[in-house]
Amino acid sequence: MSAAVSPGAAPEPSPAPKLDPREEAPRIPSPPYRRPSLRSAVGILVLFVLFGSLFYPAAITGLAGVVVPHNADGSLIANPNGTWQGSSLVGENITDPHLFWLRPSAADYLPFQGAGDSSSYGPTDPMLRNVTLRYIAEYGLTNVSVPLDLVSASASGLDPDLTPGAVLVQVPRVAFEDNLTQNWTTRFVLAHIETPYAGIFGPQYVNVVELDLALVHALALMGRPLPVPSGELSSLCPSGGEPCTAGS
Amino acid sequence: MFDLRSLLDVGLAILIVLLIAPFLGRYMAKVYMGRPSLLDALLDPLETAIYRFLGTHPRVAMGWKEYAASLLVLNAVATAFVYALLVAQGSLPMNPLGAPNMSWDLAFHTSVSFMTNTDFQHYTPEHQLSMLSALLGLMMLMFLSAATGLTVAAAFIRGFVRRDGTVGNFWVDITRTLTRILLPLSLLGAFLFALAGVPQTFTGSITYFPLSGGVHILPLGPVATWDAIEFLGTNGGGYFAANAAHPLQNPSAVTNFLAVIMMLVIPFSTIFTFGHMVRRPGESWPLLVTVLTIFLVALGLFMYFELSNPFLAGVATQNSGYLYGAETRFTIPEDALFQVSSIYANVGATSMVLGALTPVAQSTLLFGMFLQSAPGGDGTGFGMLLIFTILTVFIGGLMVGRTPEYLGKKIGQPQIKWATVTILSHPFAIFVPLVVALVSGLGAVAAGTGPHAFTVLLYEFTSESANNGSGMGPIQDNTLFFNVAGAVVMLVGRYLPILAMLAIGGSLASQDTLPPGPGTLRTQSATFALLLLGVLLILTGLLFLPVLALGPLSQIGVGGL
Amino acid sequence: MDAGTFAPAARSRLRFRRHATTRGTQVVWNALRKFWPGHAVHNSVMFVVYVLLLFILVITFFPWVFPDVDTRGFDQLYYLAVAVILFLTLLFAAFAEAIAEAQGQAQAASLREIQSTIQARKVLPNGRRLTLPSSQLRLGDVVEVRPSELIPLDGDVVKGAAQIDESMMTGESDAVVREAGGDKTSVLGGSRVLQGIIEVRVTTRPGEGFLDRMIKLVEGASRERTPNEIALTVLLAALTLALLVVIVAFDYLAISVGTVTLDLATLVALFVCLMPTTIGGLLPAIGMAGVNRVSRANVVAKSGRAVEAAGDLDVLILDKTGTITIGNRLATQFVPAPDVDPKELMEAALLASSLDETPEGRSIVRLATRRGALGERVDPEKVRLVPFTPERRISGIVLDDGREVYKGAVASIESLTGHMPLEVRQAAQEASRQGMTPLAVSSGKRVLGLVILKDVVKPGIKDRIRELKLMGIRTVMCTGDNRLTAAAIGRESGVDEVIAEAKPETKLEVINREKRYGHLVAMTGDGTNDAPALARADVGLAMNSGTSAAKEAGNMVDLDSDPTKLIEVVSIGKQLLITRGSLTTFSITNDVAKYFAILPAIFTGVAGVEFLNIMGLANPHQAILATLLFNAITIPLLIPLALRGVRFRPSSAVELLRRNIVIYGFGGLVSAFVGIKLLYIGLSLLYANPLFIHWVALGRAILGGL
Repeated sequence: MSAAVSPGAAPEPSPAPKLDPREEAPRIPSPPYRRPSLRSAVGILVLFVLFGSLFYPAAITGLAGVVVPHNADGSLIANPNGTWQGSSLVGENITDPHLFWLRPSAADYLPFQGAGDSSSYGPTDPMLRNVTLRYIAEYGLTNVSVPLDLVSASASGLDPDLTPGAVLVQVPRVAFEDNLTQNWTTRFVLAHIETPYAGIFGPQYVNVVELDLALVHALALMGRPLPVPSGELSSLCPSGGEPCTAGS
Repeated sequence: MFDLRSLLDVGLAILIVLLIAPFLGRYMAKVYMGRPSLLDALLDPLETAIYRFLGTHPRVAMGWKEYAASLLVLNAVATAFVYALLVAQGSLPMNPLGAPNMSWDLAFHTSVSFMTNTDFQHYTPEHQLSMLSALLGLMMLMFLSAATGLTVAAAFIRGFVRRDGTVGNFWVDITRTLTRILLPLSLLGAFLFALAGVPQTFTGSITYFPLSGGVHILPLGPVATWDAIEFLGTNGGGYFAANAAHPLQNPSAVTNFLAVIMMLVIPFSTIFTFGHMVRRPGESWPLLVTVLTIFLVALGLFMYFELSNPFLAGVATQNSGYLYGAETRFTIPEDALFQVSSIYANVGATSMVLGALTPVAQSTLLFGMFLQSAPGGDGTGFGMLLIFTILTVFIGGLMVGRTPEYLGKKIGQPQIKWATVTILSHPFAIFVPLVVALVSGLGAVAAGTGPHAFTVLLYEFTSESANNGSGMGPIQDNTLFFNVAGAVVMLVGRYLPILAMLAIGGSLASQDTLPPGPGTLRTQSATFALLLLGVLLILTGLLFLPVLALGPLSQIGVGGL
Repeated sequence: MDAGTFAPAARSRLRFRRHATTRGTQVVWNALRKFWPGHAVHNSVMFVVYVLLLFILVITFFPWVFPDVDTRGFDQLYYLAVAVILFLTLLFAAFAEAIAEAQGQAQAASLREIQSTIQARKVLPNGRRLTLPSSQLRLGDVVEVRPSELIPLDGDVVKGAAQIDESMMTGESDAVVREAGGDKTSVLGGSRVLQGIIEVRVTTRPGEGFLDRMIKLVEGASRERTPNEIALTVLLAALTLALLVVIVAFDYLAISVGTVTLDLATLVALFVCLMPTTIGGLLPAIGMAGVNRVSRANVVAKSGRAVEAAGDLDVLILDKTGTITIGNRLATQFVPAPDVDPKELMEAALLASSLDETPEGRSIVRLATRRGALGERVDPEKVRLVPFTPERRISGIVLDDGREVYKGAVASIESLTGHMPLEVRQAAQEASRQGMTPLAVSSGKRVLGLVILKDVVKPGIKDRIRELKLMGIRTVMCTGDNRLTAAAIGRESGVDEVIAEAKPETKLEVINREKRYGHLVAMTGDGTNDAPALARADVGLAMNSGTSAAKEAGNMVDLDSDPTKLIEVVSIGKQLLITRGSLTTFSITNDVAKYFAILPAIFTGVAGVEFLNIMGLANPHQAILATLLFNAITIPLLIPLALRGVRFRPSSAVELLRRNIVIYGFGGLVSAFVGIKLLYIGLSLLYANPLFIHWVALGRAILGGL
């Protein structure tokens, strides 16, 4: 405050318009600004590469390779001849009428294609109905009520599973083609239903890849082996380049 | 009807997140306050060496401008590094599947996308990304972008307690975020994923001979480690194109469960970190209640409207739910939990085909990205929530007849100005490119025209502006237009709000702290939480309801829903 | 001062009131002036409406300017209707501001009348007098003022003493005495000298005096936006800008999606309805009305910011004397000495005080008379008055018959009489302990007993302090009294803290202490030695009766010189902020209902959006007009509220928030649903009216002819 209010002194009017000191917000001087150092930035980058890109995956790969080697390698299934049959996690484009079929896939179950959402229809697109009806016809199921999962694409295009209903609806065809009784086939399917893990995680479902492999195996035991393509194709392995055997 | 038991799975996941969050939140507060913790013995010497290497000292504090400039420089350097990696990956080692060099625009989009915590993927990882790029480039950025977001939150929160105008030392913050938060959690998360069946190998692929015949290539890689930081860092870019729907990335309901916890845990913990850092732990509760309310309502809506698609009634049975574009190994509640968590925490990973979702489910996801703060991505989501809280305090403070203050700091013009910058940047960044795309015809969408095609396009830019990263497809987005426009949208959507958060933090830090009095608006009350909820929903609804009406909402009638 | 009422008291004796009837023509003129673009641009929200109105008018009359307008279902009459409602929206907002302005102008005009007519007699250095209009006076000039003349400008008396009528300025009808030297030197420009000749040194420049400042403030000329108002304006502007982006994008997007065709007028209506026009239109009026309310309470605020700061106060420093207590100790009790008839004590006390004109003395007379003492007839000519002196500390009379009756401090009486009964001494100590003042009474050498004097708390002050506590304001009482007296008064009045034995600089120390804790502090004061504290306080309310220095240092001056006025100012400050906040909330929650009206109207036939049509508005154009109309008429409906301020009852912050959320948040939601539906029904009735149909047909014909 100016001298105007110092007690005792004659009130000396201050020049107006005077700004009341109360009008000025108290300011704390801002800390000095230094130009950010490029050295620090590059240093942090190196740090993140060292820890995030190198140490972290290397440590986990080492650990997982020891603790859960099967998981770490991709839950692969080996063929009798030592080649890979595939992964129990990844669906296959099974069209053999003797086997159970999987869901339609725009990517034809080719993992390298990087399938995904490349061909989806909107929830109210008329094409969605048409395509579903077409699949029902292709699966030869026009006369029964079909679970949607069997006749609609999955999210990944690699879904190896079906709901139990979607497998059971195929039982008449498979039983007929394989010359099995429907009763036996149904029980075979029911025996392969996966139940929710710990009672709460996931639905009841059937891993159709494993189911079909089991079916092939069962038929072979019955003395009626199906021509399994992987056995023949193992001879088609390219001589150089990518190895056909597991654990490259 | 789905198996009701999987609701237990959903409830358990949320419960676990809420049980971990207070503890992790307090731990994170300790990290940012420099308080002693268990890891000190191991990390203190390491960090001291790092600081010497960086040329900084933990006791050197920065004003918000220096903090922001450091952040921008680091992010720019990292983006440039990854960009260079991507455009040259074809001729670099560790490229088992022979990914070619990326075009400049795709590399620009990809590097910006991972740097901004968006992780929108215009490339197909299986054959367009080398393992070197994945590890050295993108996985590094997944750590860095999450750490960047968390440091922003820390600096913002410090504004409420500091009185010297400083908000912290950026180099120290980002180092500690990596060494004390992200790396330990990721190591744990990746190990859990590996245990639960996610592959973890440096093998790029195997050749296999399936039942169906032929020779196929199965791409593999360090998926478990990728997954952990993808979810913990709220990044959301998939190791495979199909992302969390891919059976190798998310092989079972258990991994799905783990993924949900990892996606939500840091965003929810940050709310508690805030309470501890401002030394009023109770202040976390109204924010938590508000966020949780929105989250649970969204989850419920999504779940209910994915049980069946009435449009397919009479075509096929949907006893297990509307499974078109969904994986059989997850129940609808699990799908819903994953998808809502992923979008509301701005992760952006997808376990379903979003374009196939029913209209209400689509609207629910879009709304989450309009909000960006329920709970939002690592750090920035909480920053966004704090900005909305500041606006609520402003309106509420006026309503009780006092100059608004929050935690003893006056909320005035500088804070409101920057808060409005964030509120404005989102609609700007979404609508301007959207209009350009539609009017110029550059944004041709495979779905043609009409509400669904519009929704797909709206989703693309919303996801980029919110730094979410999920896509609705089908969209030919690896084009010059989408790559460049998308990158710009992501930059605007990321760095304008970050600047605003740091600026508000800085301006608060240069204020004196006022003691709370009985006349102060008490923010630890149900009334305040209700007001915050109202402000969040009404402000967001006000700005985005028209486009929702043009897009997903106008599809509802067609299905008779 | 009538305590207990919290609303700014509308005193009938206020000078403002006489002229403060706002003239209708003035209001209309003020309102219309706001349509001038240079003026309209000041209010960002309403300026956007202004531009939109021009836009719609251009399309209405020159549709060919926009080639695609025909494909969007152009209906000239509908556009015209939208334009008319937009115009009404602007007009209503302009009216709100104009009414507030006119209130201020009316107050200013009457002030100016006084000022313009004053002629001053300046004292030249050579002693001569020069008559000139007051506007030509300079700072430091000395003017002479004689009886029945008006004092030209604020100043200090440097010579002489006078009785002055300040009722023109303050409404206080009792004349005040001002004299050179001491604390009572300050005179107000515009007041009238009744008796005595004084010389006054001018302490303000013409145009900057007290009067001028008041004029400028109430007129709105010097109105600066306060920080809170600026922050709110920023928020509203940003919201408007964001909505603009949304709506413009909506137009382009709707065209390319192709589900709906958007009428430009509908689009504009949607935009205007969603914009915060209610608060935007009323915001200037709210601020002005706040200042007006303060001046109506007879307080001159030097800035609008000071008023807002009053709403934020945490601590109030109150003087004991004059604020909490009436200011004088009053007799409340007689304590006779052992073996003394109470009657005798009363008679003696009455006698001793019979010529004592001090308030204490009079209160003894009053109490004794009321208790039945008869009082001895004394002839003032024949008694000798022994006056009170600080040295002897007793007073009394010596009667012509030689009797001596004294009252005074216990010790003094003891030394006078030579003894003091133990019981009396104990009673005196007990009274002192309770903060009361015991006076011993003696007749001759006999000690008769005690008269107990007590500081009496003003009626109603307790309630006010309780209300302040409810509002979260801590009260600190400052007094020069000893601790015991101070503590007793503190207990009785309910203040939170008592500072006894205060020296003049104590107040400043208290303020500094509180400010160190970050509290906002207010105080009242009148003396020159209060000035530093007044200047340091966040709200310094100077008493008009005080010195110029005090008035210069404070940021508010109370013309009534009533220290409790501070409490009223606090309420007004709070009310100002609450009104802004509540109307903002109202404005925003209104939007929810507006969406439910307009979106279904736009998306007619699109089932997914039509389900929003919970109000059942069948006709799209009619629904949009009803919503737009609702948007417009909320402004005039809320003008009284904006001018009066929302009702403010002192209560805790959470309670206030809850109450205001219910009233203005949910109220805004519900009232908009109900209002829009009612207007829709009203429009339906109008549309069915044959006369209206006729007019519409005629209108179409005329428009077609253009």
